[in-house]
Amino acid sequence: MDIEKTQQFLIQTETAAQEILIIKDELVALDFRRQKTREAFRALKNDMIPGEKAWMSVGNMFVKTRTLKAQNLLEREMKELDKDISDLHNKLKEQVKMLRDLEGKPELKGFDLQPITKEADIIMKALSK
Amino acid sequence: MAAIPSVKVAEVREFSRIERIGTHSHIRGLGLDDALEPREVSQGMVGQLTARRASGVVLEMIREGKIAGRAVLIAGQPGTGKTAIAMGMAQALGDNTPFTSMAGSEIYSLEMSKTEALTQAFRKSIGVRIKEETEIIEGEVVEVQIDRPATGTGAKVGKLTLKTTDMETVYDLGNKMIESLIKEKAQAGDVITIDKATGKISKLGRSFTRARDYDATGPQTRFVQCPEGELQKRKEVTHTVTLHEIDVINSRTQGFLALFSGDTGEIKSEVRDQINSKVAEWREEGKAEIVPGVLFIDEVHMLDMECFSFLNRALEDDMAPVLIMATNRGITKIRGTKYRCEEEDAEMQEDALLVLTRLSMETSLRYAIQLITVANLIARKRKAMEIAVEDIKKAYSLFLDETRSTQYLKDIQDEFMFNEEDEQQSEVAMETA
Repeated sequence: MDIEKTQQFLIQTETAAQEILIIKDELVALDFRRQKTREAFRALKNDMIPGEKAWMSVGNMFVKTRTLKAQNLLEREMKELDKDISDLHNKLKEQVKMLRDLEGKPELKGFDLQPITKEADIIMKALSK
Repeated sequence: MAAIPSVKVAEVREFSRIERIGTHSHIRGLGLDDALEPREVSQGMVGQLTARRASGVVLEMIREGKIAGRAVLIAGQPGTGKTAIAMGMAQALGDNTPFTSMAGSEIYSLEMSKTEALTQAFRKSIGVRIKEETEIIEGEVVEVQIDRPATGTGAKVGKLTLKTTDMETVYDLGNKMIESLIKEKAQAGDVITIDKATGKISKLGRSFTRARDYDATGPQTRFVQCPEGELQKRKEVTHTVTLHEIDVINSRTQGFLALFSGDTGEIKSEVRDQINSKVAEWREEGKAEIVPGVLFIDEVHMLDMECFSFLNRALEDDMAPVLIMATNRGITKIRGTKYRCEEEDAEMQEDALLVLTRLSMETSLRYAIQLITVANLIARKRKAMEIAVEDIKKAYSLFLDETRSTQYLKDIQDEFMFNEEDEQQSEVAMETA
């Protein structure tokens, strides 16, 4: 009977841990797309003359569009990607909480707080001196 | 979905700083197992099983935040392990819960008043947890390309290629960024971090893969692994600072220096009020959490009446730590009872004093102090020089303490108007009539 319980426990923790690894990989992939989109946006901004048409790859297709339209498209995509990455980060925090709960580890406190980066920076700087 | 309780393995802490060896430095915890049963010899503690089990329970309550604003008294002969238990609790609580330890005699100082010293001790035991969040770009530099304009008067432009084990990308650099890079002397093969919000660049070291680039490297060179994962990461760090630290930082411009020299002096109450309201604001906006800690006062018999009444009041505050007191005296007269009488210009007879002390144990200290004044008046009325037991008795009968007043009110509440019990009865009476 103990073996069954251990098995159950292992299955649960392993699934939870696997979820976390999947999310981390997704984050890497999204960041990759984000960087590439950013590069494309910069390239359009720097090298192209507005009014001219430019070639852009959308998935598997190559499309020739006006530079302005292309820039708008890229900007929208970057915003979406930022939002997706943010959502994934929150999901990651939840999954880590679940895993720590399953493993019986104490909760990591303080990560659901709203960040106050400016004041925290001042305080920590003053204290570390 | 019952989870198997995992065995809590004791954490091994890295001692990278040299600890001062003192009487209690061998204590690493309370030495309890998972069921809060004390082991005979564990974590530096030997014996005192019941006391350790009790402190284990108190510790759990502290961890769950269910005991803030309450006081615990540890009493015993010298050498029975009171301070050791307090040390054990401090170690067991860990770094995140503020633990302030002080001796009762420390509050008597020429530089600050007793209440100020106590207030500071209290505020050193209340922590505020805050979080900072930054987006950083961390990667190994593949190439830095800076183009000076041909005319010599334009701004420089540049490109920075960063990579991690999973990806690589190119960044366009503006003038300010180029200057920072040049100042940091970032070259190909260095692993750097760029703070996205501030634009600050910090070098983490040199990549291992580029270790063979040069035959000789300077003594300061540190080699790190090429970063993994995303280039742009989100970094979240939580800090726990004590209210006292925030007080000091805000009370003067050079405040942080005062934290180390210990010469904080008296902090104005306006500063404290400001800080309290700011922290309350943060709490409401979800930006901070209060972490009530532990204030351990050893040799608490050195404190006098004023200190105790102050402690009483301070514990009723909504942000109060747990107060653990230790003393090696049994039931003694609280220091200052004699002086309080002298202050109030009252002379007390020996047995009157005894009665008063016993009263204060049954009721409250504050009540006993007030009684002195009243008894003094009564004694003066009958033209006596000293307060006698009968004066105290009379004062006791004239002025009720809290328990007696509540009892009295309960007994006669039906004689008051708007008494709810009465109305119900009369309603019932009306229905049946």
